Amino acid sequence: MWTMSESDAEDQAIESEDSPENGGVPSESEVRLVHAARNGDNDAFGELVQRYERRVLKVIRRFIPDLEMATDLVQESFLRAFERMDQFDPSRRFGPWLFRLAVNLTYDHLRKVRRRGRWALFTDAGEDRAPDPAVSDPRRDLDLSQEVQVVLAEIPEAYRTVLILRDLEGFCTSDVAAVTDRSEATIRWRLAEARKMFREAWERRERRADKARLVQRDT
Amino acid sequence: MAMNCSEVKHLIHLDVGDDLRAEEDLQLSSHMEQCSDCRSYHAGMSSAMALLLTLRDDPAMVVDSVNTKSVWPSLSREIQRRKASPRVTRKFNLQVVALSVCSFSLAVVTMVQSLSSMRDYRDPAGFVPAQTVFNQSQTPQTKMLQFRPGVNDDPSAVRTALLPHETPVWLPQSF
Ligand SMILES: [Zn+2]
Repeated sequence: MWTMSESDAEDQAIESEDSPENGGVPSESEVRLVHAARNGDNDAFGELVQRYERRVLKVIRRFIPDLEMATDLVQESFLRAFERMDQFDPSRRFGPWLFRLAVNLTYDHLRKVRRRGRWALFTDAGEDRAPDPAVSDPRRDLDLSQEVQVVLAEIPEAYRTVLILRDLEGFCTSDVAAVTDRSEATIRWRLAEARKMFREAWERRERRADKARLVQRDT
Repeated sequence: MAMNCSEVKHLIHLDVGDDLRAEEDLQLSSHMEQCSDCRSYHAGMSSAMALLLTLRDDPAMVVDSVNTKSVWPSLSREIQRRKASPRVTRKFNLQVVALSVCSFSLAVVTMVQSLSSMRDYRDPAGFVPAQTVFNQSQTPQTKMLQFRPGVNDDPSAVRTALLPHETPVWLPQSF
């Protein structure tokens, strides 16, 4: 079928905000910082934190919009990175490894929330759930991005993650593969499927909204 | 190699996010020149993609650098705290388990042994032959074996039940 051997040279890579993109090789300053951090230099680790924290926060908030909760997860991600610095291969880039920790912690958190919700006697109705513009009060004016957010949430997690990392956060497909621990071929296939799913979900929503408008006009 | 429309659609899904390689791009273009279905599908996919990308710069997601503080100060304190008092790693102590298993099995073996020796002395049915008097030369054990129902069923022997406070006469002194 589709052979995917080349990497996308024009793609954006996962880099900290102020470091230049340089494909799959870590920048010199990053190598220095990682080396120092691995040898117990807290200031070096602090610099890595400050380089990456805003991007990590942005990625986590794509899954967990609550700023406070997302910030806690950012801190937890860096703490885990600090504890596992000796497991990190310094010949690789720090970014994908860090984002992998962050995404996994985010998944764990979401799973915990879902489990808690399933067993709780009482649930907070409507909380943590995006409003549904097609079925809720049509007079309420939801902006387009909120509607898109609702549609995006309908996509299964494994596909949504690829869509978020590639299309919303601009990671290149090889970095998405590194973050999600899948092959690049799998990521390209999921990406294509996820975009198709998004389109289909959006069209379903449009049809439902049209139907709701017709019913409302008739009554 | 000519591609069919469903293969081309896969390329379209990648093309709308600029994820095609040069050779795939050529394949897509040459198919779309001849296929109006795929052209219109491409147009629909592009609109869907444009919608999705409205989230890219969603102001609700933009992290305000002024209001969002760095996690480093509190993270650094936490790291210092952990360094000062390293978490006690709780290791599973196999020795305790092994010792417990050993003593338990020893207890079971002892119990089984004492139970079986008790059975050797006591008729399980609670019956003893009424008219049996063993001579002094016989040990109680050999006598017992002779009187066990099923082992030495003497049809002439009349068995009477022992009351709980009664002790069979043939029981050894130490019992
Ligand atoms: Zn076609």
